[in-house]
Amino acid sequence: MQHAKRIMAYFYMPLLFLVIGYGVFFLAARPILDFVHNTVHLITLDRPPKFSAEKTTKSLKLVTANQQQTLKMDHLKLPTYGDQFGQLTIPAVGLEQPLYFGDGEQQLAKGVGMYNGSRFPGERGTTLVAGHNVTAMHNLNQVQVGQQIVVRTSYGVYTYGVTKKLVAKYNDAQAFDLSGRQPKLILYTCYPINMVGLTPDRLVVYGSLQSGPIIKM
Amino acid sequence: MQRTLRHLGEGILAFVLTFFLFTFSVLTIVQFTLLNPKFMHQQVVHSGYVSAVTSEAHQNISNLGAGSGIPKKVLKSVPSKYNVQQDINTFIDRAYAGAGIKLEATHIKKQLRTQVYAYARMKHLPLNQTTRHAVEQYVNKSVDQYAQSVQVPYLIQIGKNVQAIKQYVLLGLLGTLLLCLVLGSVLKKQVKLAHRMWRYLSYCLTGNGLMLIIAPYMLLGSQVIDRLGIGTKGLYRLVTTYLHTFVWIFIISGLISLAFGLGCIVISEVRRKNRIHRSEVS
Repeated sequence: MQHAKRIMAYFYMPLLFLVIGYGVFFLAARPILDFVHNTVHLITLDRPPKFSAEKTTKSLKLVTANQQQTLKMDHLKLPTYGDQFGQLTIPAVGLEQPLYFGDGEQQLAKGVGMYNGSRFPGERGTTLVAGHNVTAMHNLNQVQVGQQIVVRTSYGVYTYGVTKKLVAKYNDAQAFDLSGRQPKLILYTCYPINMVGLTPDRLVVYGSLQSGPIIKM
Repeated sequence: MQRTLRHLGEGILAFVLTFFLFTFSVLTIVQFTLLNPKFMHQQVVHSGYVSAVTSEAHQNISNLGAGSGIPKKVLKSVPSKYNVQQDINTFIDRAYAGAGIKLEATHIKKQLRTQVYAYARMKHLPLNQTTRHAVEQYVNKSVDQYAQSVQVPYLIQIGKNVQAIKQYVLLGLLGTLLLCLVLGSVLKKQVKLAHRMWRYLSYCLTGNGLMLIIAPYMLLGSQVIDRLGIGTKGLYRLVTTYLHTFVWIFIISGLISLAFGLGCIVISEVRRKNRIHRSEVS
């Protein structure tokens, strides 16, 4: 009996110390523990986060010819950020690049990117498209007034005529004016084309819509 | 009755000793982990944070280069993993010393200038004052982005907090150690028989071991650490690796304490048997 009691003591005494010790600790540190608990609740998720290699973007199928003269906005399947939804071609200078929705680093690394705060080709307003001077728009400086720019999208084919070409500062609000209801296109890249380093200048090419279905609300 | 009261008193003494032993263990672990920059260095290596930062910094510098007329292939070796590791280590040491750091990254600047000018010469591009100014702008902006990639978020603030509490933790450590020794000697005086002293020591060590194991184990089981809402993969892996290792150190310390407790049980039983045998013989 004594032997059993002695052996049992090797188990229940440490367990008793554990329970009383944690009890004392939790009582003494209650305010801190409450604060820690609330903070942890704020910074934790329901499940461990997943880091996919890159957000899955898609390439929309491009049309080859226009079927209608007008399109309804709610009938269109518009791209989400990062999707390729078109192709930009300037036949006169041999420029042909995929057109992405969004002008972030990932899009500009693959082609030209449409600023997602501007209008889609076909909408009333300005479509602003950027590209790097060392890759996608390395020959933009060869474009001349009067030449054609073709933008083939997932809903229509648009042709623009080049109306103006100039060099402006990157923060020139007038050069990059997106207000106005006339459908037009602005292409821009860093200038000088063959310069290395960060330059404040941009080569800007303007085009006005010549043909393509107009998007109505 | 008196015997019961005596045993109760000894039990309370043993519990208080256990509690201070637990506090001492916790403070020792904190001293060698949270307050020690070497521990952070180790976790940076184990979590692959250096590779993640190197990749991120390279991506940022290349993207900036693409916007500066510099093709990706010109900058493929910038920055090197070795340099990134050195800079992260320097940043950690300075942060833990409570000092801020402005990363000069002269090695990055030198590499970028060399490679960009070599590319410009190869392409017969004009290298006038305007170009040189533009290249300097690019180099400076690249270094700024590199510095942002290298600096572990919030570590400077953590380092300042570490400096603030370091001396108190050390004082607490010495204080609890002293208390443990005092309580241990008081208990030894109270408990007349040596094998009983070993028995109480085993209660203390196994109790301490259990306290070091149970709560951290429950924390691991709840997966709170894995559910931290950190946006970048590299930083997420660093923080979770750091916290997992920190928690596991508690568990391993608890297991070591349990092992010592077990040893004390064996010693107590052996000494008890020897004492009984001696008294039977005499």
